Amino acid sequence: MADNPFTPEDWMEAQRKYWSAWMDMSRKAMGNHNPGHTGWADGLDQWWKTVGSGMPLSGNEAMEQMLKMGRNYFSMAENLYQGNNATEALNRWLDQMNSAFQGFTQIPGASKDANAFWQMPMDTWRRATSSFMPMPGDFMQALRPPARAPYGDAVQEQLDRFLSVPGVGYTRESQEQYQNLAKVVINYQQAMQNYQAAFNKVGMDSIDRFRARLDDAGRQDQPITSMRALYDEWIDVCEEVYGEFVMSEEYAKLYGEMVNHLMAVKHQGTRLMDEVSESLNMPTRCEVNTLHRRLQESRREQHALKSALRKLTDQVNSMAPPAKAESGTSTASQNKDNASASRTASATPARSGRTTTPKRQTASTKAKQND
Amino acid sequence: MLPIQIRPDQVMDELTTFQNKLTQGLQNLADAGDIPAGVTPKEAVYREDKLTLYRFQAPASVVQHPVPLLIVYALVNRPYMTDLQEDRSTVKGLLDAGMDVYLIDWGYPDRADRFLTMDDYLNGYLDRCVDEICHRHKLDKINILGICQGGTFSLCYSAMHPEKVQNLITMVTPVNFHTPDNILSHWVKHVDIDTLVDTMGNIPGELLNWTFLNLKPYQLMGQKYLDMVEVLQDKSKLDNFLRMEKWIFDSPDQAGETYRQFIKDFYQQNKLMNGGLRIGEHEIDLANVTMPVLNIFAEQDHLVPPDASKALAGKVGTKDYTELSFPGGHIGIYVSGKAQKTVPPAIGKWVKERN
Repeated sequence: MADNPFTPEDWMEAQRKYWSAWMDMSRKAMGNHNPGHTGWADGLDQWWKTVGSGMPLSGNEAMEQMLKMGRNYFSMAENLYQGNNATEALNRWLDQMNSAFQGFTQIPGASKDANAFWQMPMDTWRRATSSFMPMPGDFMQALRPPARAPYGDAVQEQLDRFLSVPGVGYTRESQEQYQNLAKVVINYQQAMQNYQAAFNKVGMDSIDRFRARLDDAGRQDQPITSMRALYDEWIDVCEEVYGEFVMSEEYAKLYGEMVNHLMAVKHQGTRLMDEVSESLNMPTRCEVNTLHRRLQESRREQHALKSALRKLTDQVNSMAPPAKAESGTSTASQNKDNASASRTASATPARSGRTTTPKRQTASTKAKQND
Repeated sequence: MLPIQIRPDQVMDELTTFQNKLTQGLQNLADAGDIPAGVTPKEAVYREDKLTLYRFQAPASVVQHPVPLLIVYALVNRPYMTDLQEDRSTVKGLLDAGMDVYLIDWGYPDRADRFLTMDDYLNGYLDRCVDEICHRHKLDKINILGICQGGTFSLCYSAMHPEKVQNLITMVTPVNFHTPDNILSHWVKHVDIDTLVDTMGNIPGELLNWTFLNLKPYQLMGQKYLDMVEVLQDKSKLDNFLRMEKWIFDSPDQAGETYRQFIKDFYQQNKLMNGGLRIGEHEIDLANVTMPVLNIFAEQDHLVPPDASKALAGKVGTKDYTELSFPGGHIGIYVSGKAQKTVPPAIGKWVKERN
């Protein structure tokens, strides 16, 4: 280590200096009474790009999420800072976000982060489902209306017509399968779009309620005096509005439709994959399911037989041989000893399942047969 | 008065502080390494398929109760939540209270386990674990502590095999799945569960994670990570945070057939309350739960609302029914400092009073 001119402490110090320099630049801008665009959120991004490349944390989910939320927080501060009156600046920012929700589009700049924030449920849905979808999450994103907007409804109509063309000839069934896949993908895209649209409404409602909360705070002479308090208030409002929405019948239907349509896509994809597997003489999902089902049924029967055998053995054991009964030992206590011995014999640490009937029980069975 | 009174220099100071904490804490995060969970020494005493039955090592100074206590945890998430760390361990508290503690680790089902049913889990795995403990201790019956979904399983098991359960303790256990505040049952109302299971086979843990995170998305996916910056400099607090984070995302896939029955019969049709629930050859009737019951619920539980648990009162057949209300949430009941001091000792006391 002594040969290394650049220790981890040096590295950390360099990061601190980097950020200090960035903030100094912002302070100077503030001193000029011309704050403009401070670029704090961008600064955080830039800082992480520099840091991330030298740290064993790149790809760390918690760290990535922490920075993502930090960016959001910085973006909020940045917008609040643009102007001498924080309340006015915030209102301007809320107006921007409201427009973004209404237009179903993203306004470049400040509202982008806030919009992403409100769409966290949808974003995590894409990430969660991409692991078991036949196509990447971005594929569905590309099918969203903004991506098709330049062509309008004409594309959709043409697509519907194309997907309804009846198949003919030798490949008729195969063509229909692929047409079905395209149809269910479009249905799923529509369901996602409806879900997302509902969240835009939640976003707008959240803005309205946030404004109302702030008005209340002003009226009650309890102003918000820190960035973090403002952020927490914002989260609180979002959760409140979201909580009401997800308990509505509308949400239950939207959610149900989205899941059901996703399953239709996955189901159709599996069906097509099965056809391919079959053509390559490979096991299909359907066949593997059959095997698993039969195996589980066999194991169930095996356990039932073992259990029945144990009960029968216990019954046989309980029928004590007369000769031993006459020797002065009581039948009940002898049977208890037998049972205890058999359990001791089978009770090995961390063993797998129950062991077979001990020999002593077999002897007892023979005695009974002799009777 | 203006509702926001934050000066620009204040904004800058807050961000600078935030950034300093982030920078200074990065090294702790980089050094964190693997965070162990499940701290109390234990021995595996029985294995079957992916299941492991553990027995925890009791402190030498405490006299153990002669009737062991089996913890039946949920299939969703991992049971080390009950033994998360030295100072946050329900298991440790129970051992200190004189309980001889066993725990079932259900493992991680894979696609070959897709056809495991609730019957397989309850009348198969669970029943064989109970038999194993009975045999080891030369007893006919043991105490069972069921947690969350594991509590519902324990109730069903106790209704099917009352002769094997001496005392039953249920913790944050849903019984009535149709209380007005039950978000999960509301969400699955229009989901075609048959198609879901027929298509997916097993239900991926990622899907369950998404569901749980979306109960409070802005707090759990947003605010929580800003709070993380506050603990970055404190290694002990950071470890606690990361340990919890690991547990939250450590969600096993769910065996398809068990998921099908659990969601359809319990969440969609509420059969445990309404009747008509069958598991294997058994008709489940909570009136058969005749052993003493201690029902523990959390007052701020957003996953299993208190009313969903308290519904048990009028359904069980026992005359010895006790409720214990905990002032906290679904997770806090295992890991909060307050829980350590109150819940395990209360369970120990209640059990001892009944033997």
